[in-house]
Amino acid sequence: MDSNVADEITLTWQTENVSDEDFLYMRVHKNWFQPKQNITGLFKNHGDGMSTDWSYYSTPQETRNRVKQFGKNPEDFAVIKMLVANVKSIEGQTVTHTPDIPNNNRSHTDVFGEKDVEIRLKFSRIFDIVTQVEDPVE
Amino acid sequence: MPVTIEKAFANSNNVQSWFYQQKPDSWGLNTSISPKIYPKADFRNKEVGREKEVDVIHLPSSVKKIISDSRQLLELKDDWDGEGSLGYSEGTLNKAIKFLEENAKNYFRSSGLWVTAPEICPGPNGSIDLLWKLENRELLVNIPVDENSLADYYGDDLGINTIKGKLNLTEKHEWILMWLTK
Repeated sequence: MDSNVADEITLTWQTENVSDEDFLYMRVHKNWFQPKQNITGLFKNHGDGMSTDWSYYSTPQETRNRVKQFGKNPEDFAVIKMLVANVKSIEGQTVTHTPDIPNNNRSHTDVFGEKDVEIRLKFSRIFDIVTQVEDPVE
Repeated sequence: MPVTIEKAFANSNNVQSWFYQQKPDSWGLNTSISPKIYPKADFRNKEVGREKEVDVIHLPSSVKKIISDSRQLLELKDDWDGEGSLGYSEGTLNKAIKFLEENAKNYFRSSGLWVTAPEICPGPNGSIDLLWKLENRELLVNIPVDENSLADYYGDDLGINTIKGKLNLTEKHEWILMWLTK
């Protein structure tokens, strides 16, 4: 990719406002479900924020399949969804569209804010599993 | 199945025990029980002039199973989730189990009740979460990796009643289970 194309993509993928009625998708490795199906520990920041995909630009299957580019197997992952309004309702959490240009992920969205025990417990109440580990990879 | 509490004093022939009878599955249901307390006597070992206690409370099989199942966490080594998460050490897991066992037993001694068993689950950065989910209250306690660090806790009634703070794991904290079951 030459520099002109890269510049064009950067301009195209500007940060947008994430609507309250949309969803955020997150991959969950199958090991999170051992031995119990509780994933309070999943909700943590990697760097400044918690990485998710915005449903406006991604489907659950696309979120799941995106691990292929990192050399991982989609069959090892489930996908959860969280309503943006519910995420924003948790104290100190903000939802910011942060397109991931190097990894060609326009849907990438960060959830910023501290993830202490209170916040993690509250996150654990607002998700639904939309793609099970057992589901076939499309 | 009856839960038997035996309290005996070392070096004493005067071994006494008493028994609580409990509804089946009360651990899981967080229901009240009607303890039947049989006569007890003076347990102090006067011959040796000290009160060296051997206190054995048998946890319900349901919580034993949860503890046993939690050993699976030790199979999660570094990068077990493909996202670089740290694995879980035996030391951290043992701290979590000790916290659970001691406070559950102390709560039982105080109230005659077993509290609902928590889930023992992966926490962030090698820490371990204990999660109690009752009908009206939930409590999350995070057991840290560092031996000297305090445990973080947060609980609420899904409404306005909340507790939050840090726990020194070398101290007794059955009060937190009393809050949970209030």
